[in-house]
This record gives sequence, C-alpha cells and structure tokens, in this order.
Amino acid sequence: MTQPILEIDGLSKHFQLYEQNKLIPSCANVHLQVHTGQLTALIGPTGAGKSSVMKCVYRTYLPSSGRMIYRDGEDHSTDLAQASEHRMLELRQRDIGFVTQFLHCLPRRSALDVVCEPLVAQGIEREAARTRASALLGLLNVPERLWGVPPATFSGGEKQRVNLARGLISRPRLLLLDEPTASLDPPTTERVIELINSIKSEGVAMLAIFHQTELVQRLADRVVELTPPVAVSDILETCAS
Amino acid sequence: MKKILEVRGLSKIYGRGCPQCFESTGPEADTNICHHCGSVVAAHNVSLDLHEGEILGIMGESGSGKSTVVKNLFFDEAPTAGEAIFFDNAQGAQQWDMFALNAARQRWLRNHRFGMVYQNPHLGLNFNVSAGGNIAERLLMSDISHYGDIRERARQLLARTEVLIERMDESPKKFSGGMQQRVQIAKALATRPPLLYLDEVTTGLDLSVQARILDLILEIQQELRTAMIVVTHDLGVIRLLAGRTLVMKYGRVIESGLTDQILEDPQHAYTQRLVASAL
Repeated sequence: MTQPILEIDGLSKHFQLYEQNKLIPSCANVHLQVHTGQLTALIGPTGAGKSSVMKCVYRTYLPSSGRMIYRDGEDHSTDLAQASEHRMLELRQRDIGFVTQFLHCLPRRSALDVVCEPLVAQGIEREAARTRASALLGLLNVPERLWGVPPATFSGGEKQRVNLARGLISRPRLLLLDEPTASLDPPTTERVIELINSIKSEGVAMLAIFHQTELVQRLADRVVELTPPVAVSDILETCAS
Repeated sequence: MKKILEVRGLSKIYGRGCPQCFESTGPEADTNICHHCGSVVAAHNVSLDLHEGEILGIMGESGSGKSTVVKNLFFDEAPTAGEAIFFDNAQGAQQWDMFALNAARQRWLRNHRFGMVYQNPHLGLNFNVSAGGNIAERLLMSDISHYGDIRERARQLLARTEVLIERMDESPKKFSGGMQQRVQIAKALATRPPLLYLDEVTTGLDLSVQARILDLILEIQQELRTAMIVVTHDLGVIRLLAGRTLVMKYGRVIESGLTDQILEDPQHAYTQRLVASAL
C-alpha cells in the first residue's frame, strides 16, 4: 500500500470572533486520506465544514488543531498546519491547486489570461500558455468570443468553467475541487467528469466536494462524510446539566 | 526562492526616548506616545523576510508605523535599533548589513539597488527639471553618463509606464496625479532595482487611475521579478498585489500571514475589525 499524498488527522477549525465575542465551530475532528491518482469525496450537509477543510489544506484558514501531512514529489513530508508562509506559497505555485466555489481572479484580465495564470507563474511563455488555455476552454464549451473578455460579466456557469480550466491547466499534484460542477449544464458536467477521470489517470490526487450522489459514485475512490460540529454553547449546556 | 531582505527587531523612536518607551506603548497600551518622556514610538521590533520576486504588503491605519518601516529601509531615516540584511544576488551573492554601512555605501545601495515610490510625488520627483531629466538624474547617479544612452533609456522607461513621450521634456508639475506616479515609477525602475518600496502609491488618485497604476505594478513585477514592499491602508490594494501581509498597529506587527488568510481568517481582534470595515 502506497503512502497517501495527503493525510489529515484530527483537524478542527473554529473561528474566534472578538467583536461578537463568539466561538464558531466550523469543522471538528476530521480524518481523511488522499492518494495519488485517486479522488476522495467530501460529503455532508451544508454547514458540516466541507469547504473549511479545503480552505485549511490551502491555508486560507489557519487550522485550530490537528495535522495535515502532505508528501511532495521528493517524498518530503510537510505538516500544512505548521508550514511557513513561503513553503505554502511554493506549494501553491507548484503542487497544490484549488478550484474554489466561486471564481476569484484579478480584475481586468481576459478569461484566457486568467486561465494562463498558473502556467505563467511557473515560468512558461505566455504564448505557449495561451495555446493550452484555449484548448482547455474549448473543451469546457466556453464560447470563443468570450476568451478575450474579463470574466466579471460572465454567467455563473461560464465563470465556473474558467475557474475549472485555471485549476486543471497546470496539472497540480493535489487538486482541491469545491463543487466543481454546481452550476454547469449536463453536457458540460459530462465533459468535466471525463476531464477529472483523465487527470486521475495521469496521477493527480483530488479532494472534492460534490452534492450529487451520482457524481460521487462515478468519480470517488474514497468517501468521507462530515457532520456539522456541535456549537460551543451546546457543549456548555451539556456539561452544566 | 532566494531571500533578498531580512529585517530583525527594527525600532524607531521620534524624540529623546527613555527606558520605559517600549513597555508603555503599543496595542495593549493603546498609544504610540510614551507618557514618561513624550517620545513617539513609530516602530518597535519589526521583523520580516522578503524573497526575490515577492510582494509583501504592510497594512495598518495612519500612524501605525508602516511608512516608517520602508523609510528606514530606504535610508530616508535611521532606525533607533534593529538590523537589516540585503542579499544582493546579482552582485555575486553579496550581503549588506544595511544599517552598519557608511553613508556613501547606503547612498550607493539607494541609487543602484533600491527604488522608492512615495505617496507624495514631491518627495520622489524633482519638479524643477523635466520628467526625462528626473530619470536622467537617477541614471547619472548610477554611473550611466552617455547623453544619448540616458535619453534613450528614459524614453523606454516612460513608454513602459505609459507616459506620453511627447511630454518627456515638460516638468512633472504640469502632469496629473496619476501621470506623476507613473514618472515616479519609471524613475524608481531606471536602474532595474531588485527591490522596490511602494508607499501608498495609489492613495488619493481616482479609481480608474488607481486601477491602471496597480495593473502596471503587477505587470512590472511579472516581467522583472522585482521584489516589493507595498505599504497601504487599502485592503483592495493588499488583496490585488500582496502574497503575504503584515498588519501593524501602534508601531507593532500584530499579525502576519498569507494575504488570503489575513483577509478571510484574521486572528487578531484589530485585524477582524479592519477587515469587517472594508467597503
């Protein structure tokens, strides 16, 4: 049995909001593994902390406790919960991709250049990057007349496709997908499924959130179900009674 | 990524200072004025690392000490305490202990290896000479002396920063605020410095001009891989430019992290309030 590329052990995240004087639990005691060339699906109701787990792995959130061991190409292990900021930036550039639920991108850049970003950051020539970006946007059914336009005015589904194309273009070792097909039409969803299967066979490891059980059945090698964490006030009441 | 700058324990006091200055100021004391001697503690114990080609944001309200940090690092002012090492990788991996250098050596670094863009163009530009002349001044200080070469390089720089070449012989005092900032950026870039300081460069400009200046800064960073420290109170600028961010209050760094983490999961009560106040 090979070692997992990502192993999360006892991850919890809560937000301490000073202004409201509240402690908001977001996810608690999460365990999971992601393997090379496989997809681990995160399922559970809204509020179970699925996106929080992803954001902790990407370190957009600072985990409150637990370990997240990532093994890189040279077989070095890094606990993402403790990694330095520069190490995280390096991993984001080379190893870990994140397709967030909603597209966040630099304003005033054409869709094509938004998709190119990860390649350009890795030092690939812009023209070569644009060629690959065009191919991917075509594959995801984004009409060619939109490629030169900033995505700000795009529909939800079009933004989602640009977001996916940007996440898939650089073939990261570990890809985080937060509801990648949420606002796509059935034909495009099929394309995305094909794409996910194809990058899986290339060895990309994926951690993904899906809401449709059908997709989970078709794509997931492992399934992890999260339940909403217990609110702190409830714990206090239980202790008191 | 190689380290280009390492700052440790940088402090700056305005006034005569006393032994109680540091303990009687800061976020807990809710002031930066020492009530024992009346000195202002503008910065205390600021440490940071900057890597090649990276943009670091320093965020905070007016008076938080963020400008003081870059002014010290550009030798506009001398720090009260602290150490800064500049790793000059182009010069055969030399290291400079910045605050221990003599004035001539500091001037050399400032003219050759660093660039600064100020909020106030009067600080960065000489309004008695033309836009082209401003760039020529900086090139002359960095040992390029052939008139034709200087003029050609000035022309290239102004074209790159989208200043109309036809106006390069006019004084920048006749330029709009956005154009003045472009000339300042061209001047700062003249010697192709590996390290650039940007102090509130878009503050006070109208939104469309801000956007184009910020786009220009990003393009330059991608083309030249210039490392930058961007000082601003504007969360939008931080979000757009900086990969990592320091948050300062009353001269202290109260929080630091990846920019998306600072904005989405701020740890300190003050940062939470700052982020919640964004429009």
